Amino acid sequence: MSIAPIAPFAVALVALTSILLLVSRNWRVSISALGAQYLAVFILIMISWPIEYAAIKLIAGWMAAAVLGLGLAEQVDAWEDELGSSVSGILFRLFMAGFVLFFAFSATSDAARWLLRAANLQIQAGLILIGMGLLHLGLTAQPIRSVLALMTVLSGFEIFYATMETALLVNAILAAITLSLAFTAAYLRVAPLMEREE
Amino acid sequence: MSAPLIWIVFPIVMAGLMIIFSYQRKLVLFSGIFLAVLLALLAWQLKVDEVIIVGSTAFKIQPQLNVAGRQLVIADSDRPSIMYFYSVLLFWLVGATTVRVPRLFAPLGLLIVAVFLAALAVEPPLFAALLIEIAILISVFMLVNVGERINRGVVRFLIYQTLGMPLILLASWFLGNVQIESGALVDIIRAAIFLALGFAFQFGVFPFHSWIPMLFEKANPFIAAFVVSLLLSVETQYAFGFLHRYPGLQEVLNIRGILQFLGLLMLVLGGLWAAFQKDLTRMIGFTFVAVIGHIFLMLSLEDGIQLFYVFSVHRILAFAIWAVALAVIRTQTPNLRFSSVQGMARRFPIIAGSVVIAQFSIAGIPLLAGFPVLLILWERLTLSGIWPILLSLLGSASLMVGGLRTLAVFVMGSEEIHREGDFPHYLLPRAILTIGILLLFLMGLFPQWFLPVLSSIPVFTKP
Repeated sequence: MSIAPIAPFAVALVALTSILLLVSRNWRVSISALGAQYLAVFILIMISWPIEYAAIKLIAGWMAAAVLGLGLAEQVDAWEDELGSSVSGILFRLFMAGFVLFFAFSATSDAARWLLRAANLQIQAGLILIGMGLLHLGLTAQPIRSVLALMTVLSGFEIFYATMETALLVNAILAAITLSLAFTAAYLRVAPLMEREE
Repeated sequence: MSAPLIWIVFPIVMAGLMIIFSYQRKLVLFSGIFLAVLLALLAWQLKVDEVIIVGSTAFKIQPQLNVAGRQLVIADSDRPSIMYFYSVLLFWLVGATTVRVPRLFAPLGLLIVAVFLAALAVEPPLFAALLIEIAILISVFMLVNVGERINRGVVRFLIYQTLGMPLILLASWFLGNVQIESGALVDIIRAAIFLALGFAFQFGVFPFHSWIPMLFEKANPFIAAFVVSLLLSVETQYAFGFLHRYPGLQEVLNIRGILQFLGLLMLVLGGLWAAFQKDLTRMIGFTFVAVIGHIFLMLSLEDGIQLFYVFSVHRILAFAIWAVALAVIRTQTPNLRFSSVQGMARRFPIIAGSVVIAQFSIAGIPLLAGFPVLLILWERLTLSGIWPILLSLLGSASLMVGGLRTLAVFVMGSEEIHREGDFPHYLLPRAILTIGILLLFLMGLFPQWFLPVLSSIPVFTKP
């Protein structure tokens, strides 16, 4: 099955979900966006890999999203606090996201010179994810949002890396790291609620 | 039987068992101490890849273990390095008997050391960055104070370490696919930029250093010192491995010159920041920043890795003493700001004195363990001109100022203060700290006993 016809939609999905992660005040929307983001990453990795290998990323990503969802369900207040109710904060984030998109599309041809095996769509998606993840990291102080942003950066990197390194074990460990990051984030979420050790 | 099975797989299995029984806090801690001693002793005595005869049985310990098509390789020459890592764990586990640590400290500490060793032993070394990241993720579970708000230092530590990992992976891939000899300068520079950024994140090189003082300020300083000390040891060896595997990098880009510049920058900035802190936790954090400068300066030397080992033993001992003493003082005060620890030297002379002596030792004050090592470093730096040596001395002088300020705060205060004799439950920390301080003096007064042994430790890097 050729993946080429749906790859542009995957790039659009990457852009949409990473913007949603940046501005969403609802944790359910954020976790769903993360899940959809991993679906897009899976489609883009399939350009370089067979489906059974690429599925590792999808499964690990969805499991990570599920773990994060469980962690978030424990305490949702703090998730919503950060963005507040002001529209200006969301507008600012949207404005910055626009910059990242602009950068990602304009830097694609330069990046293609050293990512020789990557398709343009993979490069665009990778740059969008890395850019949006870094932007999110710069705008948040919340542990769980920081981990979400890190996962976004790592997803972008994994698209690039899939075009370079085909060793299954490296990519399996990367998937394990994604999952471990989600567990760490969930722990960071519940640790303050746990009873202190005497 | 293979060496990785003994020093990597076995500790990981034991750590898993210890986690299951972690509700038995003392049992788990003492099991950890026993295992650390056992594994260090085995590393000392058990020869790899040679026939060992016990009674009527002869066996041989193989150096490699195959895992999913990749190899973990521990050669006989790596045994001193393994002994070093398990001795570091031992230092901290013994320290943990005297201070309050999470019940998972011993098993997670053992697990982290085993994973770090796996990172240094794995072939191809590309996998090391991934294993180091796994160890970092495990360490977050130790650094978080349960029942308290998550501190930003831990989150920042996680962010910087995780951002460094993909950059190092990319650099590894580029270096593996670029023929350095072919003169593809642009490709080499690109790989070097990724590598430099990756290690800058992971080492906390200025301006990415902010996680270090933040981590010490908010997390338990004892655990933070353990994690950062181990991390520095592993990442230094890993970074040295890159220089060792790709000598062309040095030829093309003068990496050693860059390392010297960064080392001096970190040493001077870390030293000056440490000198002006008003919080003992931030002071130890910035001292770590300065010590990273020392490490870079050592890496900038031709045979610097040997000096690094000598320095590491002194560094680990001094920071262990400092961290234990701070953790004990912390039980008596709401925080470790100068305003809260005034008069501590009159209340706990040995514990407060330990903090100051550890600081002085790291600064390189004569008669203490740090002096002979830093003297060698200074001597070697003179070959590079006057400025490196002057800046290095400025860094050390700044660290000494920090120590003097701590001393001044510890002895000030006007009210009547009870001596520690009134607190018999501090007997064990006092005993351990006294032994530690004596060792610092011993290593400073008789360096000829220690330097030859420590400098003969071979490098844990693959060809």
